[in-house]
Order: sequence, then structure tokens, then C-alpha cells
Amino acid sequence: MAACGHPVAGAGQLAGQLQTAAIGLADQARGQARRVGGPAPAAVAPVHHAAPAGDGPFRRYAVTADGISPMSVPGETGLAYTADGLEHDPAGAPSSRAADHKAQLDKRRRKLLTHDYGPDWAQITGAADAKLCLLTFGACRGAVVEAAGRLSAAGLAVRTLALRLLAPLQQEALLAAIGRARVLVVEQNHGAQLYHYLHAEQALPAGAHSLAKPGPLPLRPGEIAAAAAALMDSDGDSQ
Amino acid sequence: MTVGDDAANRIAERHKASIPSLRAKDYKSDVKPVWCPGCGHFGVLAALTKTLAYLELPPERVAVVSGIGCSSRLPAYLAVHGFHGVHGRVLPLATGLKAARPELTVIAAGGDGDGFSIGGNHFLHACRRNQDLTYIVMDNEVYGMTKGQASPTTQPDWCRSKLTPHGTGMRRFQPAAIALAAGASFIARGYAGDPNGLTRLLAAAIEHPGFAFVHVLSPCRTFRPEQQAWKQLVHGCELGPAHDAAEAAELIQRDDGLGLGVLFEQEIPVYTAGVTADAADTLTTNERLAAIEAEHCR
Amino acid sequence: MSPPAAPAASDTVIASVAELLAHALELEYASQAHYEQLADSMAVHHNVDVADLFRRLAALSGQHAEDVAKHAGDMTLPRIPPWAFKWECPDAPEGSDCLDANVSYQMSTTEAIAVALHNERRGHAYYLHVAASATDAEARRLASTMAAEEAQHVALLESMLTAAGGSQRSAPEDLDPPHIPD
Repeated sequence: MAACGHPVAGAGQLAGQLQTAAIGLADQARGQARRVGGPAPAAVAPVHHAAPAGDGPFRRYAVTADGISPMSVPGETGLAYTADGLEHDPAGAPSSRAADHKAQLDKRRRKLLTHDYGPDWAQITGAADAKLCLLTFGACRGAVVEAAGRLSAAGLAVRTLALRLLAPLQQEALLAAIGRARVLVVEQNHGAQLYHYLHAEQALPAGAHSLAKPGPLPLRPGEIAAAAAALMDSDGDSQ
Repeated sequence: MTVGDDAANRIAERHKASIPSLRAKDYKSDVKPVWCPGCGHFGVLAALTKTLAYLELPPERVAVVSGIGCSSRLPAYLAVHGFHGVHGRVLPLATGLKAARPELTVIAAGGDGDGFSIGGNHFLHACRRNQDLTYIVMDNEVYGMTKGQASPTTQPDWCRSKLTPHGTGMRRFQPAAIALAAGASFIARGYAGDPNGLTRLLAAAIEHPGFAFVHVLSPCRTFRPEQQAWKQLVHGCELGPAHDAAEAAELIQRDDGLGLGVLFEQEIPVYTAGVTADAADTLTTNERLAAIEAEHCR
Repeated sequence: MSPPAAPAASDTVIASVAELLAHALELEYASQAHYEQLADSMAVHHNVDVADLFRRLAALSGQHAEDVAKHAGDMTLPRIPPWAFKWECPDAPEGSDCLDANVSYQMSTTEAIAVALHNERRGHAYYLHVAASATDAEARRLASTMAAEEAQHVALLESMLTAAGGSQRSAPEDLDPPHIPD
């Protein structure tokens, strides 16, 4: 429960800064639960370009360099607008013009790509010069960190990296964090989706391996540690 | 500036004083509706703008949210805050907005497919939750935007769509009866061809403290041309409004579905997200409208 | 408990000049809004000629509204709820029938003039009704004047209809028609 607080607060924060919506998903059991926790991290005020006063309609979706457009909230005189689900022009009127579509799509991409996501893009443990990097995301992190502990106790220096931001992928930061370590991508699904995604984005070094397993049984630290040890052994054999 | 200009300006100032400060056009945006000429939704747009002007609700304090469909295009045509949302999700949007900003006048709008099919479950729970919202459903008994398929309120033997060549064979969704069973505290039925009569229902719905459901018969000019006959068929529902659910159930079931007016109205606690209702909420709808009228005529 | 009742049938008599002016103003505003709405619809559906016609009619109604407002001068007009106007029909005579059965995105100029003529005739009939039924003599006189003005508009549209009658063009081709199987 407590672990949910940080990502929920972070998602709300991010949604405010990027003028979008946040969707929170939780296990069904947690969705029905209640608990009073500690205060959420202090929020940073969302970026708001001043809404220009003037004649003509309020240009809620004005094209800007950083992709963040002026935004009003209900109650501000003269700044009412309709947030339309259809593609629109800078004033929010639905538009079928190709130029409007491109301008708004480019603006949104700029907004997402240029935002400074800070250090929260991943949770990283272990030394930078570790021989092995266990790369994962989401609910597998607990088992991965536990497996890393067992491997370290057995004498293998391991780094764990759990991605929190899948897109826009922080490719340079990811490659820097991996360094020269061997990579095992650990995930709980049948198709090794993360492994394939990272390869498609050219964000994995050559020779990265995959440990992917579908549910319903969760991945256990023991099998992760065994797979990692086998990888390092085969690596040793091949050298 | 000449003396004549001065006189003209003085006269213009006096005109302003004698004419209402807000007019229906002040609530219309510059976006041109894509509805077919002759569409019933124009009547709803006209009625809603007249109602907002009469109630003198500042445009920036009003939010109209919608789902997807022809009628859900409504917010773009208004100069108030709007949110053109996701199919069937108008009531979740309205619920969240009202919870976060209880001082706003929040109006949800959409069609019969949006509200009674994919959004049907939200409709039930919005009725029983009784937040202070107004929900306008423009019912033309057809999916117009996707070019004419049977909706939940279409007659079982309507066979003019290739997808249902022998009709759907299913009984129709009964909006008023279902709203009553689900716990709605205000249920009215209007007709888009009578925009002024509709203003009376919309004003009462907006002033009603709680969830107000306004079911509007809004003919589809293109895919249901036979609905032009509604003009002759609609009639005042003289027996309403009922204030007791059992009486309302009988009234609604005995009506032919074309009776216009407030069918049911009940004062029950309004759901608020930890916000104390203001003193005006202790007035009945009638008292609130009378107070507004007295203020205007002062 | 219930919302205010609609006006009773007996309560449709205009009783003062101020009341007449409030009705005339509402009528012209509604007429203007109606024509603007039709013009916008036609523009969206690329029926340019008919859009232009409705735009001109909207401007005419707007001019009428200005005239009424000037006539009102500094008089205080009653503030009437939209449902309580004393019309003889459900909506304002010239602004009614958002659902006009004869309106179509493919309509010709001739058909559009016929729709406008229908509305103007109803406006004319309304002022004649007030001229005959108002309890205030000055209101009756003013309504007669307004009826005479409306008669001019009716005559104008009738002459336009006669002029356009011979040049009825076929409906423009629709490349994306509504799909209704026979």
C-alpha cells in the first residue's frame, strides 16, 4: 500500500506538469483496500504559461516551443474553452486540416520528449562496475532485488535496474547505467515484451539475454538467481 | 465627435440597461455545428443557451461535458467550459469534475447510444449517487454518427439498418423508468421541437439540488425521418410531477413515452465530496426559480 | 415543488408597449439565431448559395432587433422567462422549427426562400394578432406598424421566390450520402 503512494503522487504530479491525465492501476485486492499513509511528496507547481487576455477566442492549444500551452481553469473570466476529443486547431475547434493535425501532434511529442523526468525514470541498486545487470520493470522488481542479494552474497556483484518510465525511453541514461555489465532482462509475460521493446529502441548492448515467464505463478528469486548464474557460467565457458 | 454621436452613444447605453446583460448568443461559440440541417439537437442547443442566459450563469462558471456521438458534439458549440470525452463516459467525467469543483454548474450531455448502451452502467450509479448534476440525453433512437444503427431505445421492429434487417427483436430501454428505479431525484422529458418548453425543464433541472435527468426527444432528420411526426404526437404530461416514487412509477408506465414535463421530483440528500451544501440548497426548485424571477423583475 | 407552469391559454394577451417590445426583441433575436444556424449548417455542408441567403436573412433580422431596441430607448422592458413568452405557437414565430421538415443540406435557394417565407408570414401573423388583441391602445398601434413592416418582408421574399422559381437547379451531387437502405 505504501509503495503505491509514491507512484500515484508522482503520476499526478507528472499529469499536472504535462497537462494530461494519469491512470492508476492496482491489483484488485489493493483496489478495495484503505489505509492512511504518510504525506505524499510535495508537489511542484505545474508549468502554466500566462493566458493572454485579448479579443478573439482563447488559444488553449497554442503551439509553443516547449509544447506546453496556456491553460485556464473553470472560473477564469473570458478563458472558457472546450477540451475536444477530436483533433483541433489552437483555439480547440475540431479540425480536419492536415496542418493542424501535424502541428498539434508535433507539439505533444515535443512536450513529452523535452520534459525533464529527473532521476525517477528508474530505480537502480548495486555498483556501477557490477558484472551483471538485472533489468526489469513493474512488479518483478521485488523478486529481482532479492535475487541480486543472493547472488551478491555468493560473490557476484549485481546491479538491478527497474524501469519506471517506459516511454519516452531514457535511452542514453539506460545505456550509461548498464555500463559494461552483462544484461538479463527479467519480466513476467510470455512474449518477452520488454526485451523486444528495448531491442527495437536500440537500448540494449549486444548479447543481452531474456528471462520471460507467463503467469499465473510469479517469478521467484531463486529461478532468477539460477538463470543469472547460468548466464554468467555460460559466459565464462565461452571465454 | 459630433453632438449627434454623443446622443447616439447615450441611447446605446440606455439600450444596454433595458436589455438583459446576457443573451443566448453569449453562450454560443464560433464553431459551426456539423449536425444535419433540421437536426433536433439544434433545438437543445437553443434551449440550453436560452436557459443559461436566463439563469445568468457566468459562462466561465459552467462546464458542459459529453461523450461521443452527434449530440456529444454539443460542448464545442458552447462558449462555456467543455470536455468532449470518451464514448459512454460522460457521467464519470461529470462526477469527477463536480466532486473537485462543486461550485461549478456541471451539465452532462450525450445521446441514447452513449448514455444507455456503453454508458448504461454509469447512468444507474449516477442516478443513485445523486450528485448535483444535470444530465441531458438527446434521444433519437439511432446511432447517427456511425450512419444509422439501432440503439437501446430503438423499436424492436425497426429494420431500416442493414445490420438489423428484421429489427433488433429486443425490448426498448426505458430511460425514465430505469432512472426512477435507480434512484434519480429529478426526471423530466422534453422535446427538441419545443425549445421554449425545454428551457422550463432545463432551468428546473439545473436548479434542482441533486441529479437531474432530462430525457429529450430529439429527432434524427437523416436516419429517422419518421420522427418528424413527433411534433404531432408529443403531449403535456398533465399528471406530473410525482413526488412519490410509487406514483411516479405508475405515471411513467402509463405514459406512452411521449408525455412532456417534469415526471418526478424529490428532495433527497445531495452527494457532496466533503463540502457543505450552501443555504440555497434548502429551497425547492420552484422556490429557487421564483427567487430568480423576482430578482429579474425587481 | 414543481417548476413554474407554462402560461395558461388565456394568458396570451399583450398588455403594454414594453411587453410588446420585449416580445418583438425576442422574436427578432430568435429569428436571427435561427437563420445564422441555418447559414452555418449550409456552410458546413458546402451549400454556399443557400448559406449566403440565410446569412443575409440573419442580418435583416439583426437589423430589426436593432430597430426594436432603438424604439425601446430607455424604457425598462420586462424580463420574461423563455418559457413564458406569449406566443401563439410553441416557439417564437420566426425562430421556431429548428426541425423544419423542409430543411435539408441539399436544399435549393428556392426551397430556402420558401422556408424563410413561412417564418416571415408567421411573424406577420403574430403582429396582426397582437394588433387585434392587445389591451393597450398604443401597443395595438405599434403592433400594426410592425405588422406592416413584416408585410414588406413577406412581399420581398414572395418576389424573390417568383424570380427564383424558374431557375430551380437540381440538388448538388452528394459524394458521401447518408446510408439508408430502401
